[in-house]
Amino acid sequence: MNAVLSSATAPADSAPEFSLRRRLSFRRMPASIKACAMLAVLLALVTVFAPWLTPHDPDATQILAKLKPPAFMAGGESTHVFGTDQVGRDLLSRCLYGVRVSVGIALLGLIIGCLIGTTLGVISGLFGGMVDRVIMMLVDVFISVPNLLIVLVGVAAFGTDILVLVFLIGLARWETYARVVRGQVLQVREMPYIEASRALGAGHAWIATRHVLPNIASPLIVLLTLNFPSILLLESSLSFLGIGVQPPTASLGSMVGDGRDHLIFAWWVAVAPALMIVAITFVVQMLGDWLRDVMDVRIDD
Amino acid sequence: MTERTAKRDAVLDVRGLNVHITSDDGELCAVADATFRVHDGETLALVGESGAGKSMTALAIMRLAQSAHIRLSGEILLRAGGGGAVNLLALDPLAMRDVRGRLVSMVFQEPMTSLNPVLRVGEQIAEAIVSHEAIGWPAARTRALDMLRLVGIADAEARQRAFAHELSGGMRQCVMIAIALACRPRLLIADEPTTALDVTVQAQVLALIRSLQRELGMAVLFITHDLGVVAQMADRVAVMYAGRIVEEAPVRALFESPCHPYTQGLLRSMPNAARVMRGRGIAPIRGSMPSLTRLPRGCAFHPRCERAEPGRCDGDVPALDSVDDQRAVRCWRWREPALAATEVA
Amino acid sequence: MLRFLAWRLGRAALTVLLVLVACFVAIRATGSPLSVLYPEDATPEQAVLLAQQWGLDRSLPEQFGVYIANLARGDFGVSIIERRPVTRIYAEKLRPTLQLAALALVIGIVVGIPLGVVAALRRGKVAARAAMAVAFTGYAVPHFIIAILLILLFSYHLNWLPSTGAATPQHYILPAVTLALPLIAAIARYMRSTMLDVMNQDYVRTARAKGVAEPRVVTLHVMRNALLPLITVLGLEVAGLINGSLIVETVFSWPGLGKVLTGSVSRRDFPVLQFGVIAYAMAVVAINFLVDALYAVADPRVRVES
Repeated sequence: MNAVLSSATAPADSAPEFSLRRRLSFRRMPASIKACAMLAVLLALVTVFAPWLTPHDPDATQILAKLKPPAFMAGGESTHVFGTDQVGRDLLSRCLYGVRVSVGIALLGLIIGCLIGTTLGVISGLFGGMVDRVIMMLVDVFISVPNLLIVLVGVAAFGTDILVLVFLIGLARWETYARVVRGQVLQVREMPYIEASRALGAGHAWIATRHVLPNIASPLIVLLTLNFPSILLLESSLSFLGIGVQPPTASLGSMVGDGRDHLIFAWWVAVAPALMIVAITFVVQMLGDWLRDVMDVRIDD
Repeated sequence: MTERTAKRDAVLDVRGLNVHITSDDGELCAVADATFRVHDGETLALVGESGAGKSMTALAIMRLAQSAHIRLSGEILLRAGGGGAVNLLALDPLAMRDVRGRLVSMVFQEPMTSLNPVLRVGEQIAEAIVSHEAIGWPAARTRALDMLRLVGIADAEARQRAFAHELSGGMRQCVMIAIALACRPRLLIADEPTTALDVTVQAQVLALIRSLQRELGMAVLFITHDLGVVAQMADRVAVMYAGRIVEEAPVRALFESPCHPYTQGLLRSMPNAARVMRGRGIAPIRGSMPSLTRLPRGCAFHPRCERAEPGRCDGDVPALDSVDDQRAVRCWRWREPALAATEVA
Repeated sequence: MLRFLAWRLGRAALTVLLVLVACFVAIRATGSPLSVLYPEDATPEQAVLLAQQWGLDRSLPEQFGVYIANLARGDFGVSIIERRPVTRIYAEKLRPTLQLAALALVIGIVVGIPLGVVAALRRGKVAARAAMAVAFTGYAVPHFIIAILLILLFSYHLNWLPSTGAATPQHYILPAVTLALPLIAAIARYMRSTMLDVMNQDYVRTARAKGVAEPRVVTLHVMRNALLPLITVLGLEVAGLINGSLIVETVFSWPGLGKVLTGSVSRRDFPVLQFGVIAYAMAVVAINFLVDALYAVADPRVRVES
């Protein structure tokens, strides 16, 4: 009786991949997400093509034209759309290069964190037992320790070399990947086809690459998108404090830090790069929230 | 029986109830033109597969299925107390709140999740009383204790202070019944109250509902997909398929001579020891219930029906025809002898 | 409950241990620990004494033991720049930091919870959209940018509030609001999603089915259950609060620990940095343990678990 009656619920249409691809298609996006997606593409283009887009050399100083306001204000010049900084460098050009530095560092850090977290998550889920417990304990510890402290200790010990910085920033969110990936691995592990391939003599590494990785693709995409803004914020906060990217390289954060000294008379020096940061995190955060809803991924904050 | 039912008033009189749900995929009709009565002191069983619209009907009566996406229409008349009937769909939210739990109560399918995890069960029973009667908390707690005893919970004083997770599934369902009956409602809606329970516990809970019904003299709308439970509990039965009531009959008549091909199919697909012994086994209905978003034209059952007649069954939706003063069926061909004579038992 | 708390206590101990190891390794990575822990102009005799005291002639595990023993005795070293015991430096600056963090926490809770509740109850309506827009902004904008925009608007443009120092109560407003905004965002977002979660629970439907009045359904049945997981979230947000306070205190020249700690990195004042990291880590661990204990008391499901 039960069997007969419950068979009615499963609708035969809606293959999941098809509907996911359809929901991700540009035409089905809400208008706000469409705008965000286009802005994200624009940002990617700026990051790649910054040298060809900038109207001025970002490091060329022009003392006579220092602290010029943006073009739309009285005293502004159309050659410096965002105005100039305290030594007369063109702010628009510096912002475009700053986007390049900030996004570049954040992306590298993102990849490092994802690699560390995914690897540990897969190991934790596949091996279980003591290994699992130790890794999950580490995850718990990392969640509770403020990541700025970790970076401060690291920078103090190893200096502000950009590679050190990228690695330390990458460490910041690895635990999110580890948790999600481990959960997925545990789920996949229970599925009959994994049992079957294990019975056929498949090893851990084989199972991990062949069966687990395809299943964790969509939670990983969502996590990467959602983690990107927080990593960018970490980098820019560090650079703002003067312990991140060091001059002459300038990231958006360090530019805001420089502009802080001129807030009273030339607010644009700090506000221009600050708005760039806000624009980037805003756009990516919106996309991440949307992806999470569309891909139906549950991530506990 | 016939005479008494005719004379008795209907506590609940549902007329042409429709439940429309709008979703991203368009609008669907979860319940269409539901019309039935539940008389004083009797049990009407609402039977059907999951997704047939039984629970939605129950939630509509309680007006608990309310959201921006759900639209109710029709009439739900409740005759309770001295006065005439009130249409529940016309009540304002405050008046409806006062109906819920006092005149009409409901017990749900999942005893595991239906109780608040952070409140003691005694408080949850007392809360139902305090919500409807001018009575203080201490007195309400005493009454809650009486209710726990009434539903047969041993060591009620201690259990009163327990949290839901400290009780077994059967006990939780008994607490749910105690909450539902705390204000002596005229009508109890039981939505698959035993589906989630073990078979032995199931029998105890069913017996409890029967005896309390007799003791308190209330009507019961019993929702289930289990025809065995129907045979045990119901006075009359309404069978739902794809949002519509397709057959309504006294329980004995339904089991002895079902009129609708779907009811016949249901009875044939029920495991029955005697029939299996005679070597006739179970005969499942072919196919599955259509999704409500893409109902077939005409009688929703016709694609699965062995006796569907092209040009007729796939044309218009059949009306609910009276078979006699007790029975009704929604089928184009129920009068034709091949159908009526189908032997089931 | 005891087992739950014992497990959490073990985790707290592990966290502290890992932080100590990290500091130990970091100091060794920079070369001689003496040169970074003690003033460079120490006499040779003093140097020998210190080397013995820190067990530099022994193996690394033994050195770690000595290191822990020194810390346990309260010997955290002397600031290289200020030539004073680091503990004294921190003791002087502790109060403003605690005040600011506590104020931000209170604002975060008092504003964040109602925002989340409104966003959940009025879903799809204007009020909810506005609430979530505030929350979203607090989420996507970093502390230092909020600080700069607030200073520009309220200190320089409107001239209403002071932007640096902690002299008067007005001085507390901008830093506390800056620090609280991301917290408000996190709490509101979390509150909204748990509220929506709880509102779909069967027991809320039960409460309505028995005729409980709607305000009571929302407060007693929905909010009470939604606030439980929020306790844990608050514990986790403490880490973010500390991150933020380090930055906010620097921006507003707050006379607290933040500037001491971030300054010690660029000045390579290791004793100061080390003690700061250990102290902050201990604070995080202690707060998280308190939160766990609070949760265990508040949730009957944990309370009885044994």
